[in-house]
Amino acid sequence: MAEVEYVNLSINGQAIQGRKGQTIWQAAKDAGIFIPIYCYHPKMPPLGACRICLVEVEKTPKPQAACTTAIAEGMVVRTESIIAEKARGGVMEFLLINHPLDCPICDKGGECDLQNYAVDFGQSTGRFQEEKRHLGKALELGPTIALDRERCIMCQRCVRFGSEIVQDEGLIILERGAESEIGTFPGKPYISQFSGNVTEICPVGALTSRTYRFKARPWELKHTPSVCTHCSVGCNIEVDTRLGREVVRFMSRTNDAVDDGWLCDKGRYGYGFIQSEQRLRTPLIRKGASLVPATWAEAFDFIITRLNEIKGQYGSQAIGGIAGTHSTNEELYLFQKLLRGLVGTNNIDHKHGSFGSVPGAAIPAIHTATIEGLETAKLIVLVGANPSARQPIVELRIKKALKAGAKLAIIGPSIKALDRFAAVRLPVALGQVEAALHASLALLSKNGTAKGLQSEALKNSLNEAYNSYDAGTGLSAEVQTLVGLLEGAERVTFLYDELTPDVKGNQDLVATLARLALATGQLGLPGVGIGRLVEDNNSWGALDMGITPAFGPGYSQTTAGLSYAEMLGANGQTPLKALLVLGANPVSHLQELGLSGDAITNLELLVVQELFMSETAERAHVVLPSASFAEKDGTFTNTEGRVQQIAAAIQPLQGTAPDAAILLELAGRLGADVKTRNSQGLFEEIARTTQLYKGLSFNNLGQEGMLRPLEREAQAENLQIPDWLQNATRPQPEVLIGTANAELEQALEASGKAQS
Amino acid sequence: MIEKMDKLEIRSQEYKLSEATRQEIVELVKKYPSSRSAILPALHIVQAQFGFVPVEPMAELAEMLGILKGDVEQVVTFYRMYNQNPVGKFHVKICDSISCYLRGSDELIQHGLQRLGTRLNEVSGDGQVSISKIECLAACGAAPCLQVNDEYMYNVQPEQLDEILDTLKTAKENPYYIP
Ligand code: SF4
Ligand code: SF4
Ligand code: FES
Ligand code: FES
Repeated sequence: MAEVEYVNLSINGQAIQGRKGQTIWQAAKDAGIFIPIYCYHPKMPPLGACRICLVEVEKTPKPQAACTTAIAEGMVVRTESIIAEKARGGVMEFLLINHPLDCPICDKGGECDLQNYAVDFGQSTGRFQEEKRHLGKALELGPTIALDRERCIMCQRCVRFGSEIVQDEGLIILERGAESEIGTFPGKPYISQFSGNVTEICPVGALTSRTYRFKARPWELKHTPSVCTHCSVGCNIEVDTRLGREVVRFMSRTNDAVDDGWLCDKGRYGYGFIQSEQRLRTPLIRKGASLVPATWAEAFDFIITRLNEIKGQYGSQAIGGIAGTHSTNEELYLFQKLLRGLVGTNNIDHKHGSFGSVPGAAIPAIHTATIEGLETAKLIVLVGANPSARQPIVELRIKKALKAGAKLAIIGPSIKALDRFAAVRLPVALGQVEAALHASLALLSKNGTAKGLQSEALKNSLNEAYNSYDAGTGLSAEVQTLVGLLEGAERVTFLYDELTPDVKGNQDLVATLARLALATGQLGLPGVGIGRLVEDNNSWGALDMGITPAFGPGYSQTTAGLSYAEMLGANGQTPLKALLVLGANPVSHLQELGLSGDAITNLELLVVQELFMSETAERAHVVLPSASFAEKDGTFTNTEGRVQQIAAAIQPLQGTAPDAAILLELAGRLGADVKTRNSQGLFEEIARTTQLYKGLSFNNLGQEGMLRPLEREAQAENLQIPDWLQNATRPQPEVLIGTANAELEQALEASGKAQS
Repeated sequence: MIEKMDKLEIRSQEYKLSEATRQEIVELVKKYPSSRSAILPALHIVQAQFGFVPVEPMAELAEMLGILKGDVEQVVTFYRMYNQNPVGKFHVKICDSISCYLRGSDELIQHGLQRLGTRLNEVSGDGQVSISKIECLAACGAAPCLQVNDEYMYNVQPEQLDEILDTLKTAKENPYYIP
């Protein structure tokens, strides 16, 4: 860390110490002194366009823009002097010249910087007598965003969001001067998966979400801190409800470590399901071919009776549980505790990508990369991962890192939004990703630049691999470029998608990647190293809480039970008589697993806790309607291992119950002495019993969550190089660069070009 | 709004950069340390091919310069010297910047449009003439002034403009051309 240099200045007579390089606005903000801004946005470089931030600086002839002026030793700044006030008032008057002053019908009214500052700094009357500019209202810029050009103050935040942050086609300024307006390239609507952010950064009511127009007034809103559940990034959201009842929008809550203040549209606009008409609103019990509404008591009685009968008749090994990856840690913990402790079975699993030969206990330790850590990496390697499609906000963080000088390497199929930024691409088919890693590892070893590879067996297998590559097609230029970058980079983040190891050819991708990270000195470095881009908002939680037949909570050892595929009949039989399903839809995976579904059909008891009537719920004997994330408290663990809290924004919909409450009721009826019922208590139990979550509590998770202690404390020197890393690698096919697109084309052809 | 739609329709018709234009741009780009810096002269080359800057060629240019399409549109709409629409054989560009404005350019423009029977930036039915506004022509001492294509006319009074427009209606070559 470079030494921070401090600068002494005074603002409004108050002595302030700022950091060298800060602007007046930043130093004032740190000191708690307010200076209004419009064009400046803390996540973008200063522009100096709107002048609302003008302040008086002693010894300068005219007011200075606080957002662009760097602080200097001995500087004397005044934000409340007559000069500053006149300057701000003047800017305000200009900004309002063309403004329609239609606050009463504006969605922003009540939370609008233009309205607020006009009250604070403007005059009550304007001197502009001429005709204002008139333009049509609510121009639809694209499917999500509407623009009111009369309200726009041309601050350019929305435009620069496109050029600085997304770095892709977005909103632009058309024409010039008094005639400027915001628009798009002719004939192209504003389509971007990050579009909603412009409504949040627009300081006025010019850009609004088409879904939220005229839905509520800001003063009616209750804001509840929560976490987006639409992918594994876990962006921090605020669930805004009208009068505490109807969910009307999600807004960013800005967690610099996770979302950096942005949300993707999938997350921002993905609230319709919460109060959907389709939600299950009553327990259902099977009567012959149909599911019939029942009371909760009837449903519980039915489940407990049948469960006890089955246990008595076939033993507890005939019972299993499948959980989903959207449930909270507390629910998942309870689910496995109920099955392991009360039912007495280790047949517990969820759908997740494979770890190959990596032992369970090593799993959390090797995944140290964080989202914020991407900004410290000098090289980012995407390993069969497509964050743009699957973890959208990670794309923005990668672009931010690249802007600051990091390099990008992409191994695997094309990523439309990122290809053009890549320093090197290895466009191999998805099933060749492990082979490409292996080839790079072999070349590093051959070059003598591989670190930490100790065993002869490993070195020999790599040399052999190198020779076979060399004898074959020879290692392509792309592999050499990648290895060159790896050798030169101080800090590297490797991001792989959790599903890529499941693609044929990548069986041991995670271990191969771990060896590559070891060989480049990145294994276990805090913030960088390996990152697993997981599927859902609590995919990590399901592993951490021991929803697997191989290990219990915190990757603790247990006797092995049946796996996901096995419970669903992978061994060609029907292993279970009863299956409890918590927020999962295993029937939807039967086809991809190549299973007939008999194992489900033959069940004597299938209990499904769900929000909606899923394929699995349709086949259930009992369906229990559960509550969505907006109706309950708890924690999720995101793709980087950050544990974050959610809070209930609304009451559970009439007729539904949170999964934890359902599980506790079942546990009680199965004979457990249930003492702890709230999420806080349950989380404390998890932190107490699970080494991995040690020291975490609802009190210290706070608004920003916390990385699992392991990630926070990970240190290369503490990480003993485990034996499994030194095992010889398995032989790999040669690396066929350029096969990714061929594969894609084939797939397109196979799909019959039906769409064209 | 309606006006916008017409404009878009014309601009969006099928236009493509010719091989010669592309080649000229490729050569031009070589003179700049970063290709995006070539955008202003490159747009003039595009405009030389079509007489205005249509949509599709803007996308082609963006690709060639390695910039976003939106960036090209921002530049084209920012500068008045790029025509967003086709212009007449004789393009009368009347300065409306401050000096000319003070010396009556607004009235001059209105007068001209009335005489010609067109709207601003609209080409007369015979394709001969169109009137546009232009930024300061650096001839403020002779305000109000205008250009017919590239030729200057100084201190233009309404009667003179009538004469100019009448002449242009039947002209084959620019009558005001000064070699
Ligand atoms: S639309 Fe909003 S964000 Fe964009 S320039 Fe106008 S005021 Fe600024
Ligand atoms: S990136 Fe993921 S977590 Fe973030 S807003 Fe989008 S869907 Fe939600
Ligand atoms: S906020 Fe400083 S000039 Fe706009
Ligand atoms: S203002 Fe018209 S030429 Fe300068």
